[in-house]
Amino acid sequence: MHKKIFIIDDDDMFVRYIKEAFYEKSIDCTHIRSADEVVVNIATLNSTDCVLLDIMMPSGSSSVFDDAKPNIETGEVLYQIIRNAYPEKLVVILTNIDADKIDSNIMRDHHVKYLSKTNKFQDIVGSIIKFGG
Amino acid sequence: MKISNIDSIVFYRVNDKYVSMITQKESDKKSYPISIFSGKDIFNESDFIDFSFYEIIKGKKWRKFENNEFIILTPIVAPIAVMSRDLFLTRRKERWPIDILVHSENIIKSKKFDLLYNILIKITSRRNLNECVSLIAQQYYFDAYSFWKYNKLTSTFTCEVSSRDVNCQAGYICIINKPTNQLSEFINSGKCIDTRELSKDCHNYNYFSDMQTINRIKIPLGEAINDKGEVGVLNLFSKYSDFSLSDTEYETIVNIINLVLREEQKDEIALLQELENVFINKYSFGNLQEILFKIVVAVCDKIKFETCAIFLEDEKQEKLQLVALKDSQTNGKPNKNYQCYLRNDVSKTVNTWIKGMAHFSYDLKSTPSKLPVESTVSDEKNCLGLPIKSDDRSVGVLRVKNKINNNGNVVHFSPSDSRILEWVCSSIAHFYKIETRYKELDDKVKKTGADYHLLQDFIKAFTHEVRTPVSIFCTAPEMIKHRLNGYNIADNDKIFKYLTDIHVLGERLLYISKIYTIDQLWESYKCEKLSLQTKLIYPIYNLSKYYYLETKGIEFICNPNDFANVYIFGDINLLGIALNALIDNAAKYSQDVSRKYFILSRNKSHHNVVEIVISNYGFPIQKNERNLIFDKNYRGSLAKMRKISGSGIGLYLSKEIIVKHKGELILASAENPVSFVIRLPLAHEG
Repeated sequence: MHKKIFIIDDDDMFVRYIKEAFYEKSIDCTHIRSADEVVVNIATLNSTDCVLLDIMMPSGSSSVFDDAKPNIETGEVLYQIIRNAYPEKLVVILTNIDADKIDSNIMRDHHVKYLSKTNKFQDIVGSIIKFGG
Repeated sequence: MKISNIDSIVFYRVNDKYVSMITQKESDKKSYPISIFSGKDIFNESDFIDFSFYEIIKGKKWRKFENNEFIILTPIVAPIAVMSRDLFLTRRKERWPIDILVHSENIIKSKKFDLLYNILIKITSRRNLNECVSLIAQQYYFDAYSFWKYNKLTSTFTCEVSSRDVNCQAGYICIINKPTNQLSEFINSGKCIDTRELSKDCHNYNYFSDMQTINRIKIPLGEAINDKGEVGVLNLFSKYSDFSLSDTEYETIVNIINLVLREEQKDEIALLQELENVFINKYSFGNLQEILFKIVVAVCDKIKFETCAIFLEDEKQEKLQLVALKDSQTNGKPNKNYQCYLRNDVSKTVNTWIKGMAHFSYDLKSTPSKLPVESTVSDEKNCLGLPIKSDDRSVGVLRVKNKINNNGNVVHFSPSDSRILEWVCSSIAHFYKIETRYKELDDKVKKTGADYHLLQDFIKAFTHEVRTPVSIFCTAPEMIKHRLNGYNIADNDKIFKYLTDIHVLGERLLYISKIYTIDQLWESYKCEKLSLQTKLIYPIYNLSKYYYLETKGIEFICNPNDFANVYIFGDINLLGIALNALIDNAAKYSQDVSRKYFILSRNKSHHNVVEIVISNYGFPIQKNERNLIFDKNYRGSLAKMRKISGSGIGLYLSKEIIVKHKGELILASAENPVSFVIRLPLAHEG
């Protein structure tokens, strides 16, 4: 069972709901709202068991996002930042877009899972718990 | 039963039997079915049912023509030469066996020449041109014949058949390439048939000097004479003067020869199909070069030329480049640095390219036979250059040299050769056109590819925006139920919040989905009298104020009472979308600024219009962009720089909607605050 989860998502309302679902399972969640926060707090991800990442995120002001299309590719850049820092960290792409719209290189990573936000929160939480073994 | 003055006997097939009918003389109109035989051998006595007829035919020599419908027996008589002229002319009038049948009152109703035509068609269709012309000459009692073809492409006459020309009989074709000669005059005369006394003809026919009359028949071969294509000229010679064909006879002859030539053209068709398999079926975009190599090799191998070259113009249409070559040293790809032809080069190939006309040159010195008097030599080399035309413009040249026969001798081009080469040129032009079009399309696709990715990005963003609220919209009720299980129903705060969220998000979902289907919006346009305060201002203000405050920390300032007793005409959904878009924009651009609020207010001024003002204190709109902000998909540079999300559709859409309602949307102030004003005509009470 995961003890600590980082949720990287700009949608506060969604995070508010899913946090409640995690709390019911005694899982602690830390919410990171923006791409810049990820860059700043990348070291703190070390203590987490799993990262939930929305692949569609508003762009950040850091220069690492300069070449990425705003909103469209920001999440992919964030993934790379996380992966470069933590090669084996479990990253769950929790998003509204279809899996085939996501960069196939990300989806092929053994330490990446995909979940759709349109699922019920309880189902999302249940799946994440299963991913963690 | 007496039978007299019988020329030929026709047996007409009825099921598996043959019935013969003959009449007496022309004055005797009665017909008598004479005999029936059912065997295979007409001369076998046991096959005849009526032996009296058999008595007539046995013992004589007959010439038999046979097919599935008729058997014609024609008595073999003495040669024409020993016949008296009067008898001959008499016989000529009565020569057709069908005359007998025409006079009969029985089952065969066909007219004379139709039936003859059918008979001769079936007889001659199995024979080649030489035999066909020979047969025709016999049937019409002519003494000698020749058949010429005129090739308009090369401006030459070739003699293909001749009863007396030694060269033709030996298999060599004679050529006439004079600008004026008897044949040219006849072709250009407009006549289809011409009969004249040979003694009056100014031209000496070496091989036909004993003839008195010549009947010339013009035979269009395939296409019309005045267009491209071939024309045939059949010369029928008679020892007798004033010996001419009738119109119907001429028609029959033309049809028969065309039928036979159609049979001969089957070889040509078979060759075309072979060539088709070599390269037509193998072409695909991008492999034109490879196909051109195959073409030159195939032209040499299958049409039997010594050399074949293809020239195509460059992109600037300034040069003619050698792109494919087959000769003794090259097998498709030119391996030498051949120089290009330029437009002002003096060359027949360039001439062909620029003028789009075939050039033809001939060297008859290679022919082993003695040339007839009519033949001439034109140019030195046995070359033929044909233009490759695409959209009526010459884009290249196909050049061949030295047609070779099976014995390895250089022989003359036949009309069939030039026809096939024209077809090859047409195919090359077709490929060239496809290749050019594909290159243009390829460039466009590359550009479109970029636009396609843009569309894909838009779809990704749109999907994300739509599904985010949907997921909460779907799950929130579950959360409500879950909450209600553990809470007293009187605890209204959280329940109210969830319900408010659902409502607001539902509105957002509706708004987002609608702005991307604007055409459907116009179709469902419904105009009604609306209270501005209760139908538009209150719903938007009451729901959005909490949303913006809670989610973005932005205050939505508005006094709905300012809009009391104001009525307009319009579609409630469209106006809601327009207002929402402007409010959403105002909120969006109020996020990262010091004054985190925006204002919805009313200018109280005009009698006939209402002015709704939406203001925010976000970053200003640049001067050079103030005329552009209402353009579709336009996004301000500062917005892009600050990475504020948006698609550039909001303002455009709002303006479209307001204009449709006979109103205006203007940028009243570009900074401090940024203010947009909606002007709508009032609907007065009563």
